[in-house]
Amino acid sequence: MPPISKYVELIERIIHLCDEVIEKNIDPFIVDVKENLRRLREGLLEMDERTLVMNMAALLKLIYIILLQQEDVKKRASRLYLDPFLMEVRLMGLDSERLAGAFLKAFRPVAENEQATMNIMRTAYGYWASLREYLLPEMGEIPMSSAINMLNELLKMEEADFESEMEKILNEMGQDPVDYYILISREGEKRKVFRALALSFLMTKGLVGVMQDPLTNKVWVFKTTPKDVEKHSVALPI
Amino acid sequence: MEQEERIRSKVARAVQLLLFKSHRTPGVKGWELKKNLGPGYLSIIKFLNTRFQELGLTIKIVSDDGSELSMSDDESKLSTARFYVTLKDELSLTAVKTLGWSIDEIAGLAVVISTIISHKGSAPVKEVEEILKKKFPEWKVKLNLARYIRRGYIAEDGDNLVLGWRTFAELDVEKFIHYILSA
Repeated sequence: MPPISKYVELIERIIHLCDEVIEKNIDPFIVDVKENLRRLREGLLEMDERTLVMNMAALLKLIYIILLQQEDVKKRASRLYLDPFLMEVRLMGLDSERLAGAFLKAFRPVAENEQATMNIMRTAYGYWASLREYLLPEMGEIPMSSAINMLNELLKMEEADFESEMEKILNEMGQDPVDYYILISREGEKRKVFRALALSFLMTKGLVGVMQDPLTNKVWVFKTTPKDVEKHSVALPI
Repeated sequence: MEQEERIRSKVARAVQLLLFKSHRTPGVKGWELKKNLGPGYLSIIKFLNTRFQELGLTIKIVSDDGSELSMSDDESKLSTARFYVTLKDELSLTAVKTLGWSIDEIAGLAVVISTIISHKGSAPVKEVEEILKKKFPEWKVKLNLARYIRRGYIAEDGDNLVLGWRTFAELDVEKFIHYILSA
């Protein structure tokens, strides 16, 4: 009869095997449930309390393996079951055009419209920060890092700051149209980007409208209500 | 007249919620629609769906586990499901190029998704890479996999790859496998 330490080792081996199958999604049938149950039953009367608890844990793992085997049998019986090897052979036999064709027959892309949120701005900042050695072409001698720092300052602000800036800009605007560039630069270069971003959100919400004069390239913004706005997208370089 | 105006504004709000991305992923949860449009949100969505269909779009409802739901499903299921606007009809190979995908990238995605499905929904990254390398230039394999992950078609789960939210939203998996096997 093996000593208790031998039981512990055996139980640990069973638990480890089950964990491998469960975590790595390996074929559950590699576990011989019947044989392992027989081993767990052996020496049950001689085991101390701790070993019995371990035995119980191994038993639970084996139950989970039985469940996985059951699911596997169900899947194999269903018409959707595909053997990985057969699938690979099938995929190798198809050229790119036929593969893409099969994909497109079942593909219905989601219609979505991107809009700048603080999260997207943070992601964008992360991207530009990783390219800090480059210069922005339109910024001449100003190193990219200073623009990045400006953006970094801006991104530290919370959504609440942003909301209050939007409200402030709205209050600053009177009934008459205002020059866009004058409005965003009113508090100096440091806050220009932040004010432009806040203003763009007001435009998206339909609270501010934009007019462009194609002859003078002037851009005017004015207060409005959502239903008055004719929706279109405008890119305004700052 | 006033009621008509109220319904119109709710429909406009629903369009905004469904089409504009306000989270990391597009679409909107059922409970969010209910919160914004009121308890009768499904009537608004049904009405909007008929208008969308005239434009070649449709509203698709996907539950947390990736299965497709219909508007007649149980309220509790719809509440946690995500509502998307998707194309109603098939895209041609030429049209898909305008979405910024090359034929090879789509074919690669088809290979990755098929491989994951054949591994019961979770395939080892290395195995997927090996299969891709047999069909596409090696330098493209990791780049493309990263792109599929970024777009949400697949997701990493430890050392394995699983199907991502976008595959469930944009692909009829059962039909896809059928087309792959009969191509």
